[in-house]
This record gives sequence, C-alpha cells and structure tokens, in this order.
Amino acid sequence: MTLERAFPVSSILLAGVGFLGLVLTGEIPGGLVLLGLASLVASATQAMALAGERLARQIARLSSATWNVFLLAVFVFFGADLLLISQDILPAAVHFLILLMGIKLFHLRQRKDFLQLYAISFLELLAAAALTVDLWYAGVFIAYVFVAIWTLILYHLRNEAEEARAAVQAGKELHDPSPIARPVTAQFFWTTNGIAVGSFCLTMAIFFLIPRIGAGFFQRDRVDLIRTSGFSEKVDLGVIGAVKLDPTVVMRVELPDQKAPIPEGLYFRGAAYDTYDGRSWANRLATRRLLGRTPDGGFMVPPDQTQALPESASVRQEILIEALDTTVLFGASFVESLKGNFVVVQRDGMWGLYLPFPSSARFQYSVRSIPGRLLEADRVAPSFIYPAFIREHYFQLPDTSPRVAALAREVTSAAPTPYGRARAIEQHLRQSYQYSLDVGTSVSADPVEDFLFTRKTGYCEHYATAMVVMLRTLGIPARLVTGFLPGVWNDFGNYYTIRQQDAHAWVEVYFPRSGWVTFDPTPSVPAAAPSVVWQSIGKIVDAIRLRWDRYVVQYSFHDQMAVAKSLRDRSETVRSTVSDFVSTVTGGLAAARAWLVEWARAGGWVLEVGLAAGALVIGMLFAVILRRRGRRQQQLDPRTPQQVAAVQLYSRMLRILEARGLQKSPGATPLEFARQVAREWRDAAPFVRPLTDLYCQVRFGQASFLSEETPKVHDLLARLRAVRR
Amino acid sequence: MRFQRIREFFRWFYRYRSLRLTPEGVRFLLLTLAVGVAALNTGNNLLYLLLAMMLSLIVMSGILSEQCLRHLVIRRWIPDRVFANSPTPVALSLTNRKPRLPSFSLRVLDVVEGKTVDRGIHVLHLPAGASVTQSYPILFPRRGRHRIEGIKVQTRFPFGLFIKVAHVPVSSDLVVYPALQPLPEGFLHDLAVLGHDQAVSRRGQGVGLYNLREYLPGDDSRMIHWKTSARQARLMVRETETEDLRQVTLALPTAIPAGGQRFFEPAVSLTASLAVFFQEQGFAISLLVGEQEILYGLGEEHLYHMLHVLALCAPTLAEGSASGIPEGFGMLGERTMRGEITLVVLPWPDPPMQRLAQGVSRVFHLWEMP
Repeated sequence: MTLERAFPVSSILLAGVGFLGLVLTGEIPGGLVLLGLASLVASATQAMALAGERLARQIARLSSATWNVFLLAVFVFFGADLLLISQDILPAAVHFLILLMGIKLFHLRQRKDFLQLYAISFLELLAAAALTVDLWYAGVFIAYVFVAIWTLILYHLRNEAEEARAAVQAGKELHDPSPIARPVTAQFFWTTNGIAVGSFCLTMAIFFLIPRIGAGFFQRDRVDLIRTSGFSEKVDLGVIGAVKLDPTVVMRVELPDQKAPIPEGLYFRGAAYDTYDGRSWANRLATRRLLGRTPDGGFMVPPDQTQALPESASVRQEILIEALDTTVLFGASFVESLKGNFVVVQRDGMWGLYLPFPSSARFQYSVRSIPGRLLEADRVAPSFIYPAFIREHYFQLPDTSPRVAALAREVTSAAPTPYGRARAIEQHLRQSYQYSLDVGTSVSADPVEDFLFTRKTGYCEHYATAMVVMLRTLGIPARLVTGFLPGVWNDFGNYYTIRQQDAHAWVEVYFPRSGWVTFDPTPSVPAAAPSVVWQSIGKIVDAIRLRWDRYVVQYSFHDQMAVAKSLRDRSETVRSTVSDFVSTVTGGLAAARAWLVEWARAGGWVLEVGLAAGALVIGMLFAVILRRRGRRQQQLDPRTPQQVAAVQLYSRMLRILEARGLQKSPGATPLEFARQVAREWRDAAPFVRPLTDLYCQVRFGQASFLSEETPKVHDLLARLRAVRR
Repeated sequence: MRFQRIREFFRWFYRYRSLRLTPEGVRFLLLTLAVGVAALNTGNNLLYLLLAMMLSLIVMSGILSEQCLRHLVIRRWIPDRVFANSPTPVALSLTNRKPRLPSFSLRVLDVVEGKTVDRGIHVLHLPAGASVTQSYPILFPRRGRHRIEGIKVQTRFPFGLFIKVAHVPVSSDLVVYPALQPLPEGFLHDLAVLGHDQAVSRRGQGVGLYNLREYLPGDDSRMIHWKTSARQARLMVRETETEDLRQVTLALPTAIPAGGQRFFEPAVSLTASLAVFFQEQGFAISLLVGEQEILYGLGEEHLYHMLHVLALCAPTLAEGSASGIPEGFGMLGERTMRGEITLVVLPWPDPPMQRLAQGVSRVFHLWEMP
C-alpha cells in the first residue's frame, strides 16, 4: 500500500476508533450505531478500492446541495434532540457528532474535510471520556494514540506533496519526487510506530505530572448507583437473600501489607443492629456523630468504650468501592482509622461508619483495622456482670416461642462458660441446619422458630438472627451485623474482589474484657468451581481494571503528594546511606593513618629508612611501567610526537571552521579544503592556508615542527577564531 | 574576549532556532486549552489523559522537528562572475549526516540583506546519509557588493502544527558586476572604423615582415633570413611587424552634480559592455574610472579586474554643475595622438569634460541616448 493510499484509510480508521469509544459507552441508540458503522464501512471500501464500492461512489457523487440539505437536517435534528428527545446537551451532542461523521466520511475531498473529520473523532473520544470510566477506554485510547500519530504524519506528508506539486506546476519550485507516492517501507512503518510508542510514554508521564487542582464542578453523574440490601437503619429478614446471586462487583480490597489472603478470614463490617421485633432488625443507636481528624488528614475512630484496648497487629486495607446506594463505609472488623477524600465521616452508636450522603461515583479510601481478640480471662470466665448500657440494648427479645429458649438451653447444657455457650450454639447451627437460598414463599409468623424447627434451612440472616435470639435467651448480649465476606482473592493484584453475592450477616457477642467478638453460625458453602483458565483470565482482567481505576480514574492530588513524599523519603534514605558509607570510609582511613603514624613512631629511624626505600622502589616500578606503556603506545601509533601535535592543531582548526559552518568532507584533501575555504570565506584564507601547509609538511612531508613555530600557530588559530563570518 | 568566547560557545552549542505556529497549530493549541479547562473544571482524569496526549503531541512535534534539522550540512556554490540583472545559477547541496534518521519536509531559504527569500528548494524526504543538490537562479538587480547572510532551513514535520526554522550561518560575499547591455549596430560599425583608421605598424613580435637589416651581434640567430643572407653574402636578420596591438582606453568620470545620479548606472553599464566587447575583439584595454586608473591589459582576468572596479565604483558629488578633471583624463588626448582608441562615457553634461572629450576618439553622451 502506498502512503497516498494509506492516508484516507488511516483517517477513516481514526474516525472509527473515536466512534468505537462512543459505542462502547452503551449510550448510543442502536440505529445511530448502525448508521455510523455503515458509513465507516462504505467509506473504507471506497478508500481501499475494494469490490462493492459502487454504492459508495454513487453516494459520494451526490451534489453539494444535497449534502447541504443533509447537513441542515442534522442541525434540525440536533435542536429537536436537545429540546424534546434527549433533553440533555451531552447525548444530543453525541448524536449530532455521529451524524456529522457519517456525512463527512462521504465528503473527504479537501484538506479541511480531513481536519474536520479528525476534530469529530477527537470530540467523540472526549464525549466517551465524559460518559464512562470503564477499562475498555484504555484500549480505545491507546489505539487512538497510535492511529492519530499515523494519520497526522500522513496528513502532513500529503499536504507537503500537494503544495510541492502545485508550486512545481506554477513554476515556483523545483521538482522533487514525492515520498507520498512510494509504498510504506518497513523503516517508515517501524519509525512511525516508534514515534507512537514514545508519544504514549510521554502522555503517561505528563498525565501523572499534571497537578490535579480541579474542583470537580460540572462533573456528570455518569454511574448508576448499585442497589444494596441490608445496610439501612431497618432491615427485614430476607433482604440479603435477594442479592446472594448477584455477581455485581461492589468493592475491591487490597491488603498492601499482605501478599496472600488472611487465612483467618475477614469480615467487612457495614452496619449493626440491636433490636429485633420478630421480623426485622433495627438500630436504636442510629444517632450519628462526626469523627475527629488525625494529623495526616484521616479520621480517627475512637475505640468502643466497651472494648478492650487492641493488642493485635492492625490490618491495612485499600478499598475501591463502587457507587452504592448506601452511605455505609465498609472496613474489616474493627476499624481503627480511615483516610480518604471525605469532607466528614460519621459513626453511629454501634460503630457503623457513614458518609453524609451516597457517593455518585466510584471512590477509594484506606482503612486500618484491629481484629478483635478474645482474652483468656473472658474465655474461661463462668459468668459475667454486664454494664447497664449493654443490658439495656443487647438483651432485647421479641415475643418468641419458648421452644427457642429451650433449644438454646439444650444446646448449651454442656458449656459452662458464656464463651462455651456461644461456641456451642454456633456449632449447632452450622452442623444441624442446611444452607439454602430457597427459603420458600410461605410467610411465617416467627421466622426464627420456623427456621429452627420447621424448615431447618435458610441463609446467613436466619442463622445469625437465630444465634442472637438464642444467646439473648441465655442472657448473653449479642447483636446482628451485616456486611460482606472477603470474596475471591485475586492473585494477580493481591486483593479481594467483593461482589453483591458476598453480602453476609453474622453475630457479635459481647465479653466485658475483650469487647465484641465475631461469631459466624452460617455454614460455608463451596461455590461451583469455574474453569481455571477463565477464572485466571477473569482475575487478570479484574486486576487490570483495579489498576486502571486506582492509578488513572481515581488519580488525585493526594496520590501526587504521596508519590512526591515517597520520592523525598527515598532520596533521604539514599542520602543517609551514602553519608553513612562516606563516614565509614573516612573513619577507616583516619584510623589507618593513626595506626601507621603510631607504628612509624614505634619503629624508629630504621623503619623510616625502610619506608623511604620502599616508596622509591614503588616509584621506580611505576616509572618503568609507564615508560613501557608509552613505548607500546608508540609502537601502535607510528606517528612522531611532532606529527601528533600537527594533527591536533589541524583538528582544532577544523573545529573552528566547523563552528562557522564550514565542514571538511571526508573525501576532501587538506589543500582542497583550504581552497574551498578561500572561496567561501575569503577572510579566513590567510590563516587557513598557512596552517594547512604546515600540517601537510609535518604530517606527510616529515618536516620538523619546531617549538618556535608553536606560538605562531597558536596565534593563527586565535586570529582565525576572532574572524567573523 | 572572554564574553565573546562564551557567546561563541553558546552559538556553537545551540544553533539559532525559531518556531512559529501554522493555522492548524493555532487550532490545535486552542483545542488543547479548551480540553485543559474542561479537565480542570470537572476533575475528570480521562480528560486529563486526553490533555496529556495533546501536550505529548506538542512535545513530540518539537523533538522530531529538531531531529529533522540536526546534522544537516549545507553548501552553496555561487559562480565567481555574477552580473547584475542576469540570472545566475547557484548550486546548493543538502546532506543529511544522521546515521539512521531521515529528514522530512525541508524547505531551504536564503537570507539576503536581512530578508528571507524562498528559492523554491523543497526536499520532501532526505534519507539518512543521503545528499541532494539543487540549483536555482539568482538575480541581483544592482551591481556592487552583496552578502548572502545565511540559509534558513525550515520544516513542518511531523504534524504540520509548527514551523521550526534553523538558521545556518553559511554566508557568501560576492561582487556583482554591472549589467551588460547589447551595443547598437551603429556603435559597432563606428568602433570598427575607428580601429582601422588608427592602426600603426611598428616593429615588434609578430609574423609579418617589417624590415630586413644586417645582423648585429646579439641578434637572435633564429631570425637570420638565409635566403637574403645568401644573396647579400652577409648575414641578414628579419625584423617582424608587431601584431596589430589595438589599444583602447575607456574613461568614466565619477564626480557628478546633484541630479546627475540617474545617468550614472547606465553609464557604468555601457562602460562595462564596452570593456567586454573590446576584450572579445582582442584589444588591450585601459580603464579610467574617476581617479582610479587600470593600465593596459589583455585577457579575461584583466577584464574581470576592470569589471570589479566598475562594480564597486560610486559617484561622488561634485560642486556645481562642473567637475574637476582627474589627472588620467587629461592624458586622453595624448593617447589619441599615439593612435590609441579613447572612449569617454559622459553620464551628464559637464563642460570641462566635454571640452576635453573633443580630443578623444569618441564620446558617449548618456543623456542624449535613448
């Protein structure tokens, strides 16, 4: 393919990439997609002179008046779209762009037509950036960079060739064969691709360096909020079951300090509930308070006054959460601090964390959690005296069947301690009941009794509710907690992918010294094993998506400051390491010197004489070695020192002349070059000719270069340097 | 001295570059600005990505255009003899000394007296290590010293957004000879008659017989005429007549009154044309230009020497309408008497000069000529 043929093809391809970006947003009506696709295919076949181009040629032959009518119709449609159909500027503009692109693809004749097509394709990419943040945009963007480089270079070469052709015809220019008519060579192909790669790398560098000082105004709400269940102030039994089959990703949690999933498992706590009315749970401690700030701009979660001081190591999480319809902030039990781009963070009476309003876009934050730990004293204590606050909120029971209390007593009859009883109930529920999402359609008056004695099947809410009720009947304070299980661990990115189906409910039991301890009575259900290959591909894609979200979509001023701080810290580390090394070396040298001095003092005059003799011998050895090296050098280079000096002086003269724009070509002899200088720069001839003559005589004529001549030569060089051209 | 060295170092280190926008470049920059404002307003990182792409294109454009202009060796050859108002071919070679990278879209411009002149040299593609030589006609409207200060090489590669120009100090100084004009037929006829009338035979080097005389010691033995010597029974030598050594003196006064400048250039042009004509005819020519005199000489080198003087001669303002007569002009009558052709070119009516010119072979009154 010649470059001239490649030019329209690449232009159409550029328009196609921009169009693809719009199509993948999913916001384009099907009819417009087909129209755009048809236009691209028809114009591409015409450009590539493929078979079946007759229709395209017929369309292209339409008169300008016809095209103007089409254009007018497009403008009218845009107005109608803006006012009546879409009633929004962005969709109307996108539809307008696609129609305009379709018209322009059949009207590529002049330079301005191509420029307009490029502008349309760029605006399409711009519109796509406003409509989506998905990973596929990265692929479209990379393709656009490559195709744009090709297209712009070909556009430029074509313009230059056309201008040259016109000038030759007008007699203003001399003919030069145009490269645009030549086929695409391998060198041109790889050079252009290399330029594209370089441009892409530069793009990423500039992207990360541009300061993020945008206020985020006029940001479009482009993401539909994901509907969640189980995190409002009141939850009915069964709401979590509704989402247990939904694979929608809710969040991704990285563990920066871990390279493998935590074997003990994590529970990402959302909300807790204390009051059960027999059918639904409610939170009577829903009053929210603002969290205080930490010195680094984060939010400190004050420890629960009912909880013991944490002694276990904290777990750091980086959470990238989708736009949910809840204000809950999730984190592994129990959150100690969190940090993110938040104005305020609130907490309720059960240490649930909230934003003031739901986020309309994906966002990220980091959390530091201290896993709860049961102290030995609580483990073995036979009974507890609970604070009034605990008794008031966490012993509440609805009107429930006495069978539940009886079952609780029966299951825990062998357990002497509250902890033992909690464990016994947990184990009983895990082993004696079957997990099922198919709970049936019958509406029971007492779901817990129904679960424990009739159906004996249920899911996490039933298990957790049953355990809380049973514990409370035994006088052990407990509460229901909803949140998410860790989900699937992604080896490629070292993070958890948490989906709607990982929503879960579990139990927290209160112990006076240890605080709230997590219990999970729901038996684990092995998931269907998907194909290993597809699973790996899915994980890789998800890991790339996470990186895309973290380092491109969510890249912020805080990230830039973090990078700058990291670089500063690293440079400090390097500086201190180097400083320590230098100190070590100088310290060692000082110590060695002191030892030598002391040794010399102890050795007396004999030692001094010996040292002097040794130094003399070493010096003589060096002299012999250097002399031999010089002789060998001279054997390799047969030139005499005078000839070498003459060459050096001549080289200096050549450098001076080169700086003035006179370069000696490799094929020119010194005298030829001197004549050339005389022709092109007459003022320098009086200095160049004598220097050249001297050089030739010494270098080739074996003449001697006397030392008295050196100042004369230097003077000639100085005067040559001073001459202005 | 030190500052001069530092300045020269920077000139050596960084050749002069200039950059300007094309219309497409202006639109591109405006679009970049618009995207930047949109990105700042919305805080959308994908808009920042597009902004970064546009900025990278600008940077790449600068890098690649600089690569195109680097390591280019330009040489210009101007003929030694250039006449005013006469197109002269100038050769220009452009060599790409880069080992691997080609140069694209190179346009070479001359810088003459501070102005950039497009000679129509446009090299679309110059491969690595390749050289291209093109010639173009150059026309100087005026005689005298001219300086072509340098060459500008510009490129719009790779995207046509910017025009980057490199100034290469390849200057050339040259002297442009006066414009030549064809001499009218009447002139040529008159000049031929003049030459014939004033021919005088003299003894000298030549082939024609001038005289036979007795051999004297010291004569060249090759000149012995043996036939005559045999007849006369004594050695006779042959003396030859000198080749018809025709001589002409051209005189051009330079002191002019105010208002007389407009005839000076035609007078210089006519003088130069006469010199060329007589040189072609084999005359020995002497030239008087104002106070400056060039003695008789033959051949092309002598002609170009005279043309050089004519190229650089300048009128001087005389007081009043008459001028003082230079010394050389006063000898014109004597030369005429000796049989030489003397021609005076008068650009303006000058009574003393006109009186003097009455004793010369011919006077050209420029103000009377069409």
